[in-house]
Amino acid sequence: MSIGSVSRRAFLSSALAWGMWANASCAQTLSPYSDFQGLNQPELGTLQGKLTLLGTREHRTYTLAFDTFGHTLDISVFRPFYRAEFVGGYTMDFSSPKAFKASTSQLAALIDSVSQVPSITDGGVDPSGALSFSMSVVKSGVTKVFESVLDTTDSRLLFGRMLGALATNQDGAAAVTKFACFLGLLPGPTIADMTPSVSLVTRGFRKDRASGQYVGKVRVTNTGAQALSAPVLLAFQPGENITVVNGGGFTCAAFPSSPYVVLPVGTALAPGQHVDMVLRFNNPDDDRIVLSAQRVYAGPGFH
Amino acid sequence: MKGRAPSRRRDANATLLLASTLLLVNLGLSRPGRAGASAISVSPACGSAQTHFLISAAGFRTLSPCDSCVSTIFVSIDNISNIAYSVSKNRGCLSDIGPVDLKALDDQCHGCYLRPGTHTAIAFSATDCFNTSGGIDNPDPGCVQATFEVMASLPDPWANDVQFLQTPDLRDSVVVTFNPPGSCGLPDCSAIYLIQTVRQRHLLGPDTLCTPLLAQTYPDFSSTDLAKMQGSRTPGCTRIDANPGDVDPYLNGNDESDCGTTGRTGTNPAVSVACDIPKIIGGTLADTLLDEFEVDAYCSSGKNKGRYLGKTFWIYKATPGTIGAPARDPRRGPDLGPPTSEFLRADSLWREQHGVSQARPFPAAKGGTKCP
Repeated sequence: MSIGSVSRRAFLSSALAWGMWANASCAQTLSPYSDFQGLNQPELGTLQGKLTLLGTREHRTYTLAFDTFGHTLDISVFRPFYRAEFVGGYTMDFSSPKAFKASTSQLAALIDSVSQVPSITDGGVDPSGALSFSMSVVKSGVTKVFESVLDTTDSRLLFGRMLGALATNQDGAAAVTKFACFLGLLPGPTIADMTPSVSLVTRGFRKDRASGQYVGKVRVTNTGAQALSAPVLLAFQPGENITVVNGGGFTCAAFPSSPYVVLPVGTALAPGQHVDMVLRFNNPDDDRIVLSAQRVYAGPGFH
Repeated sequence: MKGRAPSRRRDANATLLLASTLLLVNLGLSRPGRAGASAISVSPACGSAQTHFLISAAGFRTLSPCDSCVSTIFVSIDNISNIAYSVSKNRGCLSDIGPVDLKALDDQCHGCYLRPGTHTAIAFSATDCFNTSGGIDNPDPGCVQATFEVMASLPDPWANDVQFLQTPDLRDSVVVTFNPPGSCGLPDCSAIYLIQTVRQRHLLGPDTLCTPLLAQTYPDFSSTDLAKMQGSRTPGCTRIDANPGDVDPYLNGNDESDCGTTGRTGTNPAVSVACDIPKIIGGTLADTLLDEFEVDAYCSSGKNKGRYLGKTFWIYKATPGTIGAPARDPRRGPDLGPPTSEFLRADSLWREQHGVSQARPFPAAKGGTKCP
């Protein structure tokens, strides 16, 4: 490729970007948290928020954004409010943010819940703060933006409050949990690894001609002295380009993060009891399926 | 390398080897042993002079016992030049050869093999065994062949390999693009991802040191996470560029922080694109922080699953107190060859740690026809 053409493009791009930042560097004034309390329904309909990691970033990260149903997410409204001291830290806002939706009542509950944590609502920058928590709302035609830059302690508190407010929002809670796990900032312990207390038998996988999927059966027996409380998860690594069809997602309780299935144990799996489950996989290359790194998790905790 | 005897004749080197072996032989009879169907593959079967055609042959008949025999497998192109051969060590039988990277040989002879047109790769196996009478038996030789096409030119999949695009907050994002030309030039593949390794080093005066992992992560990454990252790093400071919890090693895969699109080769090709936006502030530990990136196009699905299709490079430099910037690697450019050995070591460690089967960088010998 032509190095020259790249340089020219980069120069033009740089000039354009500098113009944009020149405006943004005169950052508009952030609003106090109190402006976000007691919002009416139309105002809640314009509410949106985001979490952005501002600190040093060796690897790719992502911004997690949220708003309510019927609203079109637009995180560019935050740009004029970026703090100059974190220039370069908001980059992930421009690279495929992940987002979830919440009801206006859930958003109101989130605001109320967070309002009880002064170190978040102060809208300041914690010493060694690296996680930006921002919200925007349109009130009387004016866009107001709040931002607090949190250290790890406050970040955990925020995640805990968010998960409480989104308890009935499965997608939202999953997105927040995943993001907190990604940052290593879960607000509580992960689900317990009970692998030493079980035996696992996996039967060979065969191709189901009707569906094209590979089907096999796994039996998990509680060989320990204590009952395994629900949920009981079986996590494993199925192999490259092989995906579990009837799984529950990926658990960050395992390393590396692994796909898992929720075993149908009811409320618990008593000592000596076993549970069977049929596993289904997409396996487009017809590779041999070997479930490696099998782990069983049970009880309360993040997964 | 050119103008050698026809490939089915015994090569001069093999003759010398056999003559010396005569002095040492244990007399005995050899019987037919494993007689798998011999096969040869040239992958891809179509390309240009820039294509790394890999030739592999396997399944040639072996004898049992074989300790009185010497076997040789030759590979030739168009029946006029032996480009590679392999001779059994310490007497014994050979059943396979390869992969032979035809482009590497072509580079050595300045373009003598990869001329436009249709070519035939031939693998010929010859075995000489000493019988009880002191004579030499020549069990039936094996010979298989396969054709491949060299086009005058093909679009370069790496034509726009690395671009630096500035974001509105003045950071350079890195966009890596691998654009397969179609059904000719690359092996068949239904999912092409981009895997990136990073070699992280501090340059301090005359010293070059591995960058401590602790200096690279969000402050609260646990010691467990750091240990996991350390476990996937080679002694040369290189590891797959992924977060500790990532499910796949791809830049453009299915992890939340991944971005881009999945590519494919074939009649309906698709471009594989990925992005990265590092932000590292140079510390006081070093004069310069230097991250060296290698990005390899990888086939994760289809009959060439596990193969690498080409590589490119970029770097990221930061000096104390400043945010670093990405740039092209001034020492290395893109090509369609296999990954560097450092990349393969890091990739292997990651796969081992994640319970994923190892990559299969080379095609299996499969297909071809018997020589006429």
